[in-house]
Amino acid sequence: MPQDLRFLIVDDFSTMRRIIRNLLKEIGYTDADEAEDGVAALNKLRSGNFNFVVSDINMPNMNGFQLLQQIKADERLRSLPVLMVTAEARKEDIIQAAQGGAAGYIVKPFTKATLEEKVGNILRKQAMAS
Amino acid sequence: MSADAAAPVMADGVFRQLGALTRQLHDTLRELGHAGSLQGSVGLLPDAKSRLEYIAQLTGQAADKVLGEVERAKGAQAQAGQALDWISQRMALHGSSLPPAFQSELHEFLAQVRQQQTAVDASLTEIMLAQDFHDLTGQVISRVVSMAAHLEAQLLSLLVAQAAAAGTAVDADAGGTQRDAASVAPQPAPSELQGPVIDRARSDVVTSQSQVDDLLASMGF
Repeated sequence: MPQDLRFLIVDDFSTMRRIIRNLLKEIGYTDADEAEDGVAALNKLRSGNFNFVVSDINMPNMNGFQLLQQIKADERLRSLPVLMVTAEARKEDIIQAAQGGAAGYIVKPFTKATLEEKVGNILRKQAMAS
Repeated sequence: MSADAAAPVMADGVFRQLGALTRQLHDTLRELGHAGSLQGSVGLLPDAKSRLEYIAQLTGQAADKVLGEVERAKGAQAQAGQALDWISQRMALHGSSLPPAFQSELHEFLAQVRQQQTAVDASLTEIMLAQDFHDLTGQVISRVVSMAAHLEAQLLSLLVAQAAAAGTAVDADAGGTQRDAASVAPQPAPSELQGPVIDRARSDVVTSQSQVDDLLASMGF
């Protein structure tokens, strides 16, 4: 049974934010907010109590790699799991995300089952670690 | 001669060669009378960009409209599901007072409706997911627009240089806007991020989620 968690969905395309928000709702996570780039995401993360970040990579102003770096450099945010959901399919990008501390990586286009599986895996790992 | 001393000489040679090539290109353009047609082509690029942006805008509106309808339909589906739950509960409490044959038919009917409701909901989820085309094509369009802007700036630089050599002004815009060398701002390099993969035969990319998972697993993540 999904826990009562607050998600932040970061993507410059409103369509994709809406799709991910609806999918999370179907999976059982109803509390979600949205940000259109890394800068807006950081502002929201620093002022709200979020438990999980789902982020795109290719965004204006601050991309997903830079956002990940900022999250991991912030003592209050670094424990937040960050799941990358992106069209970037180069192996070097996937490796960079993993080495930067991303908790998971989903390549677009993706399915509801993939999102459910990755979110579930990340939360299970987090519960086991704490 | 040391390597340090040789470097400026080599660079000087490269610059001379580049200068000669540029001059040759300018002369060829002038001789062939292509400078004018090149100027016309530069003028077409902003039009191409605005047409692409129009496509992105319309596809975005279409995707939003579909998502709105899917959300409404899913809401109605959820309400229908609640109604089914209520009827099932009533059947469990009072169904035994109904004739046995009717009870059986009603149970079968409810099971069928629930099955259809689940199938419709799954289809709605697929329709919703299919709207990701707006994000994926939008990223490609954005990249092409950026490339067109870069190409426009490069062609404009070439025209300005050619016009300066020939002592004429450049009308770089189909709309008639005059531009000079100072207005040709350097364009930012295209993003290193690639966006959606078009050429799936490339060896440096993954083409499925299982390949992503395998790559991460091989690295111990």
